[in-house]
Amino acid sequence: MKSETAGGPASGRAFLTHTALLFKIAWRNIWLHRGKSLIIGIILLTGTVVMTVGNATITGMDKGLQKTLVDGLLGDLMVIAQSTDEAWALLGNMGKSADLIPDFEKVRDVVTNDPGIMKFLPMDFGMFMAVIQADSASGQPPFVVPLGVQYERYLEMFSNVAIVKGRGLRPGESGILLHHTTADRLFKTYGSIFSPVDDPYAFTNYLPPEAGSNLASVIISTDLIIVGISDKKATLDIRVPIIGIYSNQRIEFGGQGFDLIDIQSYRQGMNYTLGDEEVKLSASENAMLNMDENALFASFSENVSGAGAVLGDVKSLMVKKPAVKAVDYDRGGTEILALRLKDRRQAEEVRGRLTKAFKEKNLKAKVIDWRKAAGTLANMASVIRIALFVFVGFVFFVAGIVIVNTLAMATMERSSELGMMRAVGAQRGFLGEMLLTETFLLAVFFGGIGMVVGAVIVKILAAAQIQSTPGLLVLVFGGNVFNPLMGLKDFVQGGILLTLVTLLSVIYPARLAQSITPLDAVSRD
Amino acid sequence: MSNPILHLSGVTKDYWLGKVKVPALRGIDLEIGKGEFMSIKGPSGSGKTTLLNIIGLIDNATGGSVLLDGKDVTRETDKNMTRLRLTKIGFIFQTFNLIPVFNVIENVEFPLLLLKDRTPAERRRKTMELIDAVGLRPYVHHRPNELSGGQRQRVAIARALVTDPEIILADEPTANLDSVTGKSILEAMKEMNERRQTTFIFSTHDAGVLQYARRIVEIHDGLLTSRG
Repeated sequence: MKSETAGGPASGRAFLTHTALLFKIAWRNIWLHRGKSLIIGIILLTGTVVMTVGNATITGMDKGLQKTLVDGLLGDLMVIAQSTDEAWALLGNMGKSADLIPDFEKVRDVVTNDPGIMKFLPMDFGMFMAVIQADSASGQPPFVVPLGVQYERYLEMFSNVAIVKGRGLRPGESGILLHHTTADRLFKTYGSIFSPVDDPYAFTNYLPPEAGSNLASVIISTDLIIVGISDKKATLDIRVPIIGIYSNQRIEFGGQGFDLIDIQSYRQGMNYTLGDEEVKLSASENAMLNMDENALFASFSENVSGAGAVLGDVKSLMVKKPAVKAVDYDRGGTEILALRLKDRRQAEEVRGRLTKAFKEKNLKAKVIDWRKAAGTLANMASVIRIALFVFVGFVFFVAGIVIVNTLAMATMERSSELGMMRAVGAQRGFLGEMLLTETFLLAVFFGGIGMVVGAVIVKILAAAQIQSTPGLLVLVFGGNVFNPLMGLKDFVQGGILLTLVTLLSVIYPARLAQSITPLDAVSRD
Repeated sequence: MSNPILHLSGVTKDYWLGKVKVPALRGIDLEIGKGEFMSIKGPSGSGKTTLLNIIGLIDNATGGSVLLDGKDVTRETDKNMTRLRLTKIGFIFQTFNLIPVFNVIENVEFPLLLLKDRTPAERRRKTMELIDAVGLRPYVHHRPNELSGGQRQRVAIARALVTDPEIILADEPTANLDSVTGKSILEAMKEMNERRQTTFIFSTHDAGVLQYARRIVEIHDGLLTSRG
C-alpha cells in the first residue's frame, strides 16, 4: 500500500533511502560538473587554509601572551584592595598605584590556607621621581616606575631577569635594579649615568657611544635618590644603591620597562608600614636592655671580680651572631598579592573560593585574573583575532558570492532536469536538499583538505622556529620563537564557520531550485 | 460517460504578455474515462500542451474546474498536487527528460524512491519488470547519454508506469524520434494501455501518430472543436 509519499513522514528505512538517494545524486552531479565543483572546492579550500593558519596563529599568540604575562609578571591571579579603581591594571596603566590591601596579614592567611595556591608574592608598584641635579633639556620629569618585590622570591615566581650589568639583589639587600631602558632614558634626558655600585664603569657597554667618549663631563652615580609619588599620603625620599642593570626576558615592549626595587625600600619611599619583625629577646636580654648604664657597667665589674650569672649571659651573647633585624616581607604595606596556582585550569574555582572567604571574613580585598591585571595588553590577542575574523570573513564572503553565483548558474542550467523531478513527484524541499547535499559534500571534502593543509602549514611554521626580534613580538609569541598552535577548538571553530558559509551560500541557489516548477521541464521542450 | 477518471469543466487559461492578456484555453469541457488511449490533436499554438499541463497538474487553470477521480484538484496546494502527480499521473516528455547521472535502472526506480513506501526488493522487482516490458534489459546500466532516442523514450515510459499511475500524459512523445522508433514507442504505449488499463493521453499533430489513438479530441485556438 502506498501510504507514504515524498512529503510524508519518513520511517528509519525511508530516511536512509532518502539520504542515500540525495548523496548518490549529489556525488554524481559533483563528478559530472567537476569543473564547477573544482572552482567551488578551491575557493572553500583556500578559505579554510587561511582560516586554519590564522586561527592557529592567534591561538599561539593568545597562549603566548598568557604564558608571557602569567609566568613573567602577573601570576595566575592577583589580590588587590577592593577600593582600587576598577580601571586599574598593572600593565597598560603604568605608574598608577593600587590601594594598599587592608588587613593584609589576614588576607595573606586566607591565601596561604587555600589548597589551590602553590605560592604567592607581595608586590608594590608605583611611580617615583628621581632627584637628579642635572637639568633636563626636555623638561620631562625624571620618573622611575619600580616594582617592589622580595627579589629572590620574585625570581622563583617569575624567572625573567637577565642581568646586563652588575648583579641581582642579595637576600635582605636594599637596592634597585634599573631596567636598561630606564638607565638609557635617564642618561639621554638628564646626562646622568647610573651604573651598578659594584661596577661603576659598566655603562660603556650599554649606553650610547657619546656617553663613553665624554666621560669628563658626565656625572656617574651608583645610587639613586627617589621619592614616592602618591596622592593619598606624604612620601619620603630614599637613597637606593644601583645594584644592577637588567633586561626583562619576557616583557619588553614599546621601549618600556619597570625597575625592580627591594620591597622594603619601596615601602619606605611610599611611607608604608615595613613589616619589620619584632626582635624577640630572652628575659636576661630584656633585663640587660632595661638596666641603666651604671648598673650595666657595675654588673661587668662585679663579674670581673667574681663569677656572676650576668657575665655568663654576656659571654653567651658574644658568641652569638650579631643581632640582625628580621623582616617579614609578608607583613608590610602591600598593594598586590600575585598568586601562582597548583593547577592553572582551576583559576576560576580558586578565585571563587578566595572571593567567598574574603567576604566571609569581611576583608576588603578582591581577586582579579591575569587578563584584568594585564589591562589593554591582554586584549591584544582579541583585537588581532577580531581582525583575522574580519579578514577570513571577507575571504569567505567573496568565496560565498562566487559559490552562490556558480551554484545559481548550475541550477539554472539544470532547470529542465529539476523541473522533470518536480513533475514526477519530487517535492520542492527535495530539490533544496539536493543542492545542500552537493555543497555539503564539497565543503566536507575540500574544507577537510583545507584543514589538513592548514595544519601542515602550521606544523611547518612551528618547526621553522621563526625568531622574533625583542619587543612586542617576544611578548606576543610568548618567547623568542613564533609558535602557532592548533587545538581541537580551532578545528571545531573552523568546521562551524565552514558549515555556516556553506549554508549561507546554498540558501539562494536552493530557493532558486525550489522555484523551478514542473512547467520548466515542459517549456524547455 | 460513467465514472470518468478526469472531468474538465469550463477550464480557461490566460497568459499575460505585459499588459496584454492572451487566452490559451477558452472554456474546455471534457471527460476522459479509465483505460482510454486518447490523443489531443491540434496545430502549434492551439493550446494542446497547455491543456495537457492542466490535466497533469503541472499548471493551474485560470478558471473552471478539474476533477480527478471525482475530486476537485483545481485549487490544491503545491504539496498535494505534487503528491497526486507522484501517485496518480505519469509523464512522458518530448525530450525524454531523464536524470543524466542515473543509469536506466535508477531512472526508472526514481519515483519509487520518492514514494518511500517500498522495500528495496519491491522496488527492484517492479523496476526490472517494467524495464523488461520496454525491452531494455541489456541496457540497465547505461546512462541516458549512452542510449538512442528511442531507448531513452522507453526508459521514460517505464519510469512513467513504475508507480502504477492511473493516467499517463505524453506531450508529443515521438516528436524527436524517427518514424520507425516513433512507431515502436506508440506500440509499446498501446501495449501498456491494453495490458494495464492505464489511461494514456498524448498530444500530437502527427497524422501517423494519430492513427494509434482510439479517441481523438481536436483543439483550435483554445477551444475543443471535436471531442472524439
